[in-house]
Amino acid sequence: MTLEAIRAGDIRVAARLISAIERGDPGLAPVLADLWRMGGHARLIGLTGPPGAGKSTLVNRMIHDLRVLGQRVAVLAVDPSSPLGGGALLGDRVRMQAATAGPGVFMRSMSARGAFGGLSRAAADAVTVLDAMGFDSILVETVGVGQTEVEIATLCPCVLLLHTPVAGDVVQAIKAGVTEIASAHIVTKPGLGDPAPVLRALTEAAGLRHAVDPAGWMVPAVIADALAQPPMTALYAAVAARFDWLAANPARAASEADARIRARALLTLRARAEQQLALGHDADLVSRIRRREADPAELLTRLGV
Amino acid sequence: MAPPIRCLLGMLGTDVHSKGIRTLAYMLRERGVEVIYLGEHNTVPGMIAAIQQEDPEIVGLSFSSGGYVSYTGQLIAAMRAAGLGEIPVMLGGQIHPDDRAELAEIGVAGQFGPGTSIDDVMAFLNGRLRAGAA
Repeated sequence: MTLEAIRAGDIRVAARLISAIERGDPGLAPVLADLWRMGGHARLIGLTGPPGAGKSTLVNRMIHDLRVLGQRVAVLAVDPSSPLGGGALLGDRVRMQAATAGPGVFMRSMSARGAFGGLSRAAADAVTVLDAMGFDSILVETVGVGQTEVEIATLCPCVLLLHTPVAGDVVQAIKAGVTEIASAHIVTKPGLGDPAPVLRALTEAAGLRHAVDPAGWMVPAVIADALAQPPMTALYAAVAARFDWLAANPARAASEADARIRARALLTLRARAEQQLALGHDADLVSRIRRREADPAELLTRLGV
Repeated sequence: MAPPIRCLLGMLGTDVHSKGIRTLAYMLRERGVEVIYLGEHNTVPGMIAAIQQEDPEIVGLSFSSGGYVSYTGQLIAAMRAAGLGEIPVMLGGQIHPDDRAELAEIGVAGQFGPGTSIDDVMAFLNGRLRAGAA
């Protein structure tokens, strides 16, 4: 029943299912298993970058543009949760008021709920739901990130990494971390300053990477002004080129997809282990380990890893 | 531990006095609530779409100008028509005491006029949505 409603694109059923995923309701596994098999058709595009780089504004523009092309578009937007009280201000809809009210669009806000990788634990399964609903494109917006939040790459084969004109030089661009997961570098807010130096730095970094892995994807760097009138031709060309490259390189695409599945499993394992540890059922074993009557490996055995 | 309360907050119509709703959004966030913040200038159909997609446990409206009885009535009627009638609606802002009975009659679950403290709102939310939870 749920499956048919999801396949038919029932917004209310999907919204409630995503809430159940967020709550961690037991018994969802069979539904998610079926939904996973139904999906795989949507273009998953991740958007990440520092706070205030313009992610929500760009998503709003992309919803509009993709709708004009006749696409059905889903959005999952994650905002940070408080490390103190656990609450969250999910404010992405403010930038998307007009675009998300129309037909053919499903936008869901999500709190990170204590996760530190830029997404939330429920994000991957929520995307499984959206994918099974038959959307043409799914845009996944992360929390504002620094240099190390790379979880979006475990979910999306195309990741847009946003930078502003005041981002750093080429040394920043060749540092390890989030720069490595970009499928395309997008320099936003060109009105803030000259975007050319940042664009040059990102292009140089992408060239170095390509020199090391000549058969790999050459990461483009483009400028996009989501608030200006002209079409964002360069951005859409970069996205299309990325998906074309994946289609033309099936072996690489498959190994990247396999790596995402393994990374996703690792995240789930970690989340489950955290849940187990939080329950405190291991108190007796832990104190025995402390007294050297048992060893740390026994706790891992108990956790099933 | 009970999961965080998901509360959708927004303003309808041309009311531009958003200081109140921002203050409430911040304070709720600080008390562990997940606030889906729509800001000002929402339409009834736009807010219905947001409620359908976000599946909040409660909807909060803020008004600092007149017309709130009419707007709130339109939203609650549209929510019922869209099958969202089980989601409670609360109201805050410049609510006149003379309107309280009529607002209750059209289905407003909680009313918070001038002088409300965040403790009042949290007591209402917990009582309504987390009764029996630890």
